[in-house]
Amino acid sequence: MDKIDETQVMRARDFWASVVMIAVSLFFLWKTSEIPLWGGNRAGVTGTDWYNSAAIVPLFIFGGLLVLSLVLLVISIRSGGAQNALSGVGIGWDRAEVFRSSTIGLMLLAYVVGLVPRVDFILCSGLVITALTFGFYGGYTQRALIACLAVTFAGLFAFVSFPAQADWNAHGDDWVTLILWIFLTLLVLSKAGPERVLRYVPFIAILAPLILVCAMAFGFRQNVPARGGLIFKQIEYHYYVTLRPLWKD
Amino acid sequence: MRLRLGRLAAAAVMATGIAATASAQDYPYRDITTAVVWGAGGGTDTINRMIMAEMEKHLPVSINVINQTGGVAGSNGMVYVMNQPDDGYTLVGLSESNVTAAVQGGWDKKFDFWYPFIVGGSPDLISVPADSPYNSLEELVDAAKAAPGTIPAAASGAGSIHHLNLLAIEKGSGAEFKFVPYKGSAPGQEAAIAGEVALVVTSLAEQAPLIEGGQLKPLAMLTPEDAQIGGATVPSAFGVYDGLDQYLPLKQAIGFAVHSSAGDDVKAALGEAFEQAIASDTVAEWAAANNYDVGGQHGAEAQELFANLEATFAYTLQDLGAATVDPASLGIQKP
Amino acid sequence: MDFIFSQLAGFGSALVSLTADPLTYLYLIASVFLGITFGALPGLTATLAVTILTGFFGNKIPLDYSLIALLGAYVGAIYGGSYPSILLNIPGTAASAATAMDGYPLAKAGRGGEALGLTTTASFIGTVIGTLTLLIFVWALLLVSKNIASPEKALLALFGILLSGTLMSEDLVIKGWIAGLIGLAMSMVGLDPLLSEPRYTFGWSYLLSGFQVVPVLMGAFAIPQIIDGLRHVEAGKILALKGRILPNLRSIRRYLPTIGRSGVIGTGVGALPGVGEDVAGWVSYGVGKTVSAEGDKFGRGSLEGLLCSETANNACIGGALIPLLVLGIPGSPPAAALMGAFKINNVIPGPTIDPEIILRVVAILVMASLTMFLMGLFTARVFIKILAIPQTVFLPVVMVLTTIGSFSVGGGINDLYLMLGVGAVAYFMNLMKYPIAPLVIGVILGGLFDETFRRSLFLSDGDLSVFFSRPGAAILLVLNLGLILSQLPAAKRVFLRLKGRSA
Repeated sequence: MDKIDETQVMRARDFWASVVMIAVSLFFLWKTSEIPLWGGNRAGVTGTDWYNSAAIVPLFIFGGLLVLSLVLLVISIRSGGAQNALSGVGIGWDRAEVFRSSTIGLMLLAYVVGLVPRVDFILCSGLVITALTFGFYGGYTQRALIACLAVTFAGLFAFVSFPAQADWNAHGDDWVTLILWIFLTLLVLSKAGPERVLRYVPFIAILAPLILVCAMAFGFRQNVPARGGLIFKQIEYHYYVTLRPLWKD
Repeated sequence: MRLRLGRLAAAAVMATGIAATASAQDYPYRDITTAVVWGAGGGTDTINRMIMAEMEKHLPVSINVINQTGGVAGSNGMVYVMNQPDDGYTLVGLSESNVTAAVQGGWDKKFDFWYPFIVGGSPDLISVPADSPYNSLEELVDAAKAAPGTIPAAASGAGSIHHLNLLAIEKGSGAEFKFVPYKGSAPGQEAAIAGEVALVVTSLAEQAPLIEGGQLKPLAMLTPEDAQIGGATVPSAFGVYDGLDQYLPLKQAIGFAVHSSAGDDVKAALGEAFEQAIASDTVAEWAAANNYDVGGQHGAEAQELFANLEATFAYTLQDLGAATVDPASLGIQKP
Repeated sequence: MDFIFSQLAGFGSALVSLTADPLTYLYLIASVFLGITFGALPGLTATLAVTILTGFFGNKIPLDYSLIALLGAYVGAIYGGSYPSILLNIPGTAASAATAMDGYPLAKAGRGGEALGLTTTASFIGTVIGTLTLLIFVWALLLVSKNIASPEKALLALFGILLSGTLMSEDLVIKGWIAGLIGLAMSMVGLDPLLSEPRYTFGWSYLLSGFQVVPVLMGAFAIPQIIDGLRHVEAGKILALKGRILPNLRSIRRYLPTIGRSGVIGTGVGALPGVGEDVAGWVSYGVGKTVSAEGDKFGRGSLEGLLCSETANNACIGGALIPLLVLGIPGSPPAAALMGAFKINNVIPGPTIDPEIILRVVAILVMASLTMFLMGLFTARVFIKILAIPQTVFLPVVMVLTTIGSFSVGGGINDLYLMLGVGAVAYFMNLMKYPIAPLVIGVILGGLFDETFRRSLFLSDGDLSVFFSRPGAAILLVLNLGLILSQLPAAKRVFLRLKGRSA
């Protein structure tokens, strides 16, 4: 047992996964008990019984999940997963990898939950594209940290200052995002001397969301996030008032 | 750096200033968006796309139709439109089924939150599989009376317009069927063809291709009028059972709505375009080809119609035990 | 015989109406190009290409055209994976993993152009074989499927989930089943279809309508790909391409039996529910290695090995559409994304699908494979240039694409929350080597299973015999039980072996 191979690591992870799944299936079995099993007459359907109650299939599913998780637990214990499960090496803990995936996870969370509903789509997407590329191109830990802090701060600021949907069109968070984006872009450009790829980042970050949002809104004529955003509001206004009369009349 | 930021800010302030003056323009100056609360390809979606294309001709702007689905009884879409400004640039495409959203816990507004425009609806009818032993409504009802609660009857989910029509025919004729809910009209009709159920209640528009294709046999219309389909006449159930007019007709009301709180100029502009569109040949031809009756109500008349539907649906659902919110607590009057 | 002729006539008229429409070419060229690009870039998959395009075209343009875009991207992406396999020894998609075994040695030996020419031809022939099988089989099956009622539907749905779980799992089979169960559990959320009982909504009214297909697809396929791909990778050296990319007709003629066999294997694997192109490629490669006279040369630059995998993975496309169109059960992960596109257009694939749609799908596939063939021969150098773009540059853009596409499909911002949640679950499942395909199949078929299973019992008043008294149901029940039982002894053997080791 000197060297831990990949299967061993997997079994150690399985140990934890099965413990989590046992807990989850027990929780949902308990939630299922809130759904009436013995029927009675529901929603105008007479003659309901246990076999067509809304709880029967979920009971099978979570029961099955519980059984399969137990089997997995047994497999992982028998192959030595339990002994390895408590040590970091055993579950293949890799600090750099955990740092990488958790910073990305945080950025995506801040983007989807904090920024997209509240901040102009071009601004927040530009920030996120710049941050993700800058943070992970070349694999420098410090850059990833800076990028992650910038996006998380913007997301948190938007989320905390405008929690209610009624305020989502306010522009304070748009300005914060814009400033962070400019700051990050300058940082990218300052490093772009030796790393030529970084030179393209600002262009991609501006053009990609701009083209996408315009194609969606004016080409496909669909709904886009944050219609009242700082930049999109202007684009929409000028599209209808300045541009479109050119070919409509 | 500071200079650039300052210039940017100045430009942005200028642009915002322009936008502020824009709102003073006449309605509508920019495109209108209609968010249909049901999926693409369905009845409500099709009707909205048709009527919006027609209304565009009488408005200086275009109308986009998008879909905002999900929730219960279309609540996700209604909540979405509710949260948009009441400036008349976001309409909601809806149908009679949406009146149950409140009592089913989808949102917390009475339906008079909307100012509706009704394009029309298709009448419901009762049909049996082509090889069914029943050839008239009486035969079917007599069979049901002989063995109450055993003949399986398909209709879309509990609390839908078709389910309410099924309930009405049960009350009016004294028969009792075994109600089997399906997720939508198409699966219910499919089940009737496969012989899984003995009868199906859906709208004429939905059944027409199957009746014409000889896969379903129509027994009776659930409206006071007879109907013509595939060269044959489908008799009205009203002539068979006298008590029916107490419960029926319960008809679809498909159309769109704007916030009740929208300005009078918005309602007037939309109303004018709507009336012109409804009067057009395109709408008449479309309705005839697809077995729809054109409604054309808007304003107070349409609001009253929806209030009635809301009361009927809400209290029926409560009786059936499918309402999670007490309609009285929402201020809905008992019909 | 009449039947086949009438099929061919129907197909012919569908093809004519397709070719006569100038818009067709616009969508075809754009989508096949995009598909090949997605396939060629390591880190982007065929499933992702179809999923993202569903977000973009799904319900925004008429279904007739969105089908062109989606199928074009599907065909292109499965083919595009062969570029990095051959030139970088990194498979662009899992489907092309077997291609790298022989493609890379060939390119190293300076025969890269020839290899690319051959894969292009093989992909084209494979797609056509799969498509023709689709045309014939779908119609034969549709005749039977009118008799399918609730009990059969329930058992079929279950079979699809189980089979996908059994075959798609890299690690233990039990993990595939667990993934399937998690998918089923996700599909339970919302108002139940029979009694309108709310389940697991936790007071969030958006969830009353259940998990929507498109956000689940986006979450399951895009998010893990993005999290996993955003890392620094030493750029591999792209082998310089010598010679022109032309199909070597002599080799094609010589290996015609191989191509035919691989096409049939690919189509067959594709027809299995939820089992995709990667399995098709490997199975065909494995069979080729044992059957072929020059099997010992496989892995060292054998043209035959190359043809085995490339024909099969493209033939898989037609196969995967058979169960999708006839039964509403997707045959591969990209077909699951296609199913999402059908669903948001209110078209329910299955026995009641409009036959016109099937004929159109077949016609589109033929046109798409032709477009792919021509692009592969004449614009290959463009795709080779694309290979040099680092993942860290294009993946952030893909994230933005996914976000706006998912947002505009229907549920708005709530769909995005759902997408992120499913994405997090899928990421951890990837980390633990759980297959994602059974989860997606579970979400898609779970509602159907719940509804039809309970309705069968409701109609029979709780009599369980409905599941074995009907002939169709009985066969399906035996298949389901057989699948479960076949895994139990295997599991037992694992136990015994482990016991032996620890003792």
